[in-house]
Amino acid sequence: MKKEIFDLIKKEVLYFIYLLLLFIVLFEIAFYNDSFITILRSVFSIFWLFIIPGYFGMLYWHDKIDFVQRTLIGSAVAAGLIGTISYYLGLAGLNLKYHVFILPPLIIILGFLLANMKKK
Amino acid sequence: MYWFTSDILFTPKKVVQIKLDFEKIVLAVFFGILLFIGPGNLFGHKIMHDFPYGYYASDPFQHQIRAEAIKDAGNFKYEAFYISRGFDNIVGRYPPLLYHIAVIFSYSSGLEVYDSIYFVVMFFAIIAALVMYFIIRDFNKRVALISLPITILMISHPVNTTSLFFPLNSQFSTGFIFGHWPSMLAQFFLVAFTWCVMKLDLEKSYIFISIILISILLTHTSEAVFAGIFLVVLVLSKWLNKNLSRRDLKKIGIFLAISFIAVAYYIIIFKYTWAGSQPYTFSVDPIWNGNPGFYIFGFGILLIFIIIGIFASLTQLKNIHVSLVFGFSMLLAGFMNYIGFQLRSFQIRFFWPIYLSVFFGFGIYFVLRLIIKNWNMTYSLALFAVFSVLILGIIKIPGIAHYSNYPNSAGLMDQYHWESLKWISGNTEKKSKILFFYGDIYSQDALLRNTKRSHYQVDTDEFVKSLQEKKIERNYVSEIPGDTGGGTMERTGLFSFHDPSQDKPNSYFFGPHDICGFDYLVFDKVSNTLVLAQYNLLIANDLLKKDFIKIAFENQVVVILKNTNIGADCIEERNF
Repeated sequence: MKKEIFDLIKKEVLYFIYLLLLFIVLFEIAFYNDSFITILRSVFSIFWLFIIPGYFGMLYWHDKIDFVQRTLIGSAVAAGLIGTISYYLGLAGLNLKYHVFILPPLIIILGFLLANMKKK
Repeated sequence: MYWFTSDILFTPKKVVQIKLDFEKIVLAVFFGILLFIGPGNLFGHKIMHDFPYGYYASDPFQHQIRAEAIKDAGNFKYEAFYISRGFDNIVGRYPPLLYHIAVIFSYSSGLEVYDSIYFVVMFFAIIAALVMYFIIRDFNKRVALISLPITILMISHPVNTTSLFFPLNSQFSTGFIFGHWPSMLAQFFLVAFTWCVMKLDLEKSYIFISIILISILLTHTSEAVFAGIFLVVLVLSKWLNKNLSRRDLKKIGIFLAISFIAVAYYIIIFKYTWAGSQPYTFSVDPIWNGNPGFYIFGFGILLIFIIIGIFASLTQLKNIHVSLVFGFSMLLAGFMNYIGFQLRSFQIRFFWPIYLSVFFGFGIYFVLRLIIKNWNMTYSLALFAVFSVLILGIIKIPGIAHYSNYPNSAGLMDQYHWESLKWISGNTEKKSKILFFYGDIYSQDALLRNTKRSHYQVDTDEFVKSLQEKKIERNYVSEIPGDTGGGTMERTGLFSFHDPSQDKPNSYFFGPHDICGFDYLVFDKVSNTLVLAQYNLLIANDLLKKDFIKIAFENQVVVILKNTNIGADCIEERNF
């Protein structure tokens, strides 16, 4: 792993923790009639499916786009990729129930590899 | 970049700097407000429900049950038979992306599909407002902050304006509660597409632009037409301003090529289903008949700022920013109902508070800049606060469009009907035929697909006629409801499709049906029209006189009878 990428991820992990806490608090307020477990599971799902894969999907452009915009657009990119790949994987015969375990790590790995390939 | 920075000294020995980034704080608070007044209010401040909650029409059920069917099948190769009027092997013709995301989110979160699909749509609509903020911020960060409050209207139900001049009810929430969900999600991707195109200069930008364009095409294909309009207007404006480089054109060519290759499989299906059954025809439709849509005067006094913003944007024509091009394109797209785009244009208007927010912010900024020469970011923050208060409706000023809460109701569905539908799907044989007698909610027939069985429903007009004639009959005019949008097509080859419903006479789908030929008969015991419920029970009680008909399920609202001797004389025709 390139040191630059490693340092960046190390630094931005902290932002993720802030963002996760923010989401939990805001969801707890907006959906105050729901159990904490439901809130927690929903927020973790948003992070697992959209925010974390999106972050890695946009990592290649880390020097041009700030963390917030990478995360926002990354979530769109991740949602689009997950929906699209899932459609074709389903047609190819892989049941959707497995996609939740396969697709986010796949996008994370691809995004990470792309960022690592970037020339200085 | 920080607007305001606060350095706090904690101890004499150790200096701890806390940088308060007010922009991020404002965005976080705004996101929280949208979450609270949008999905929070609509969902009764719960994410997880015991039955589909906040569904106000047939279409939300249409999308919910399709996602549910995809979850059951594990893929979207075929449409389920209970969606396709009993036909098997009907190709999955709806753009698949929303359904796949909803199913995967359901697996991940543990939510039922009816909750996960609705949540995904609303969540990304809120994210769209934030993405638009960053698009405008790239133009002018002072304008971006002033623009933000008007996006609140996107989740309002309905928009409250006291307009003496325009009596039409304006409602944005139709997009959510009436189930224009694929369009709503596609419009989120459309906003993301604009952000991506704004970053065209970045190295390998075609990667993320392709992904977003593919997402639009696979979520609600008609939004790709509007993305195309925006792209053409942008390229033209760049060309006229001599800003269009060969490199730009090359990148556009690459992302268009990647996108069309990636969606080729689906586009073939689209061409032989939707494109064939709903071809473009010129028409002028000033009103969206039968639907509470949004009309530009619904903005009320806020429209004045939007119009000023539009005129002010003309001063920017040289080197016009993407956000303004996008605003103009979507304004145009929202008026294409006058040239045959019908509901597709009305759907675009659901997102007008986001698309046109740039004009709103720029209009106010443009006017105030004539007075205030040295603009301070604090002024933008103050305007953001003032308009947030007004548009949230905390202070209501007549004529200013402001947020209105959703009805304090679960919508069409209730726990008793849901219980009965789930009972049918979980306890009857897969090939069972179900007949629904009159029920207040059954006119929104997509909800009946939750039986996951072949189902029929009596025609209300004919049923009322029989009641008026005081007749108990063996044959009631009934229909096979189902989703025929785009045609019910079987795929017979790579480029050949066949609609098996064309092989059946019309009477197969709508006509007198022998009620003794059904495995299960569903009666509502309560109704807003009492006499219809009484008529239902009269028929049910006559059926129960036969020993081969038994009550299979019953709760306070619904009774389901099972016929164990199909075709036998199950009811005595009589007058009462």
